[in-house]
Amino acid sequence: MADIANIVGSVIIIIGVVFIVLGAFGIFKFKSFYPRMLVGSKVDTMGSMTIIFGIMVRHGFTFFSAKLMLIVILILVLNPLVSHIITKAAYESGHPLVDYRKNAKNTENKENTGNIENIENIENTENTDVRE
Amino acid sequence: MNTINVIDVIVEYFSQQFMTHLLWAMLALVVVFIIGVIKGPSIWDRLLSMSMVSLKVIVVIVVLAYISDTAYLLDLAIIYALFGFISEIFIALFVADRAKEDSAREGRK
Repeated sequence: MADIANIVGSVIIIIGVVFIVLGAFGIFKFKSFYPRMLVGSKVDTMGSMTIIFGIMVRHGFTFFSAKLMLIVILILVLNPLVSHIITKAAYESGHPLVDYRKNAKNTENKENTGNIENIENIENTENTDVRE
Repeated sequence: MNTINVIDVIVEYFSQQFMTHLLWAMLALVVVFIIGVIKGPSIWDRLLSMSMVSLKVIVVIVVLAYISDTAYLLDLAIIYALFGFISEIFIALFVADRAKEDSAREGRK
């Protein structure tokens, strides 16, 4: 019985580790801030919660698992809150929504305002403050 | 006979060495996200990677508590979660306020 719990918990832990490695890959894959936040926050919260659930399955129905449940609830409440507040603070302080590395290449078209129609032409336009 | 040996090896691995390997994997991921903190071009990327580092440190503390089977190490994880998240929220709000003051001082273009 303990062997079955060990194997099931270990498989759940491996699923969580795969989630977190995909989150790390997303952090280094995307070069702008908002896609990075989109990928990183959700995948990372899910992976950590899955790892702690696997440890709960391995340990059984004990006091240790009750404390782990408290940590899972804290992560579930607080980590999306932190991601939301960091993104909202970045947006309100004027972090550009368009990739800033493309600014140096193309500076001809200065009429882009970041509307829906212009998103397909982003590679040919200049990065301006899109909220104005 | 051979399949029984394979099952025994898997059960042996998952019951003995697996959590130590998980601890090393988590420490490697902490190093990866610290590279993200150093490399990130803006302060918001650094703050995002820093929140992920704090989450990985919580998982490392939980795995350490499981390996040594000491429940009081989880108190440390709870405190680390609360203080880490609160400090990230207030660093984000502080930097946003300072950026707004700077843009107000320079004037809108």
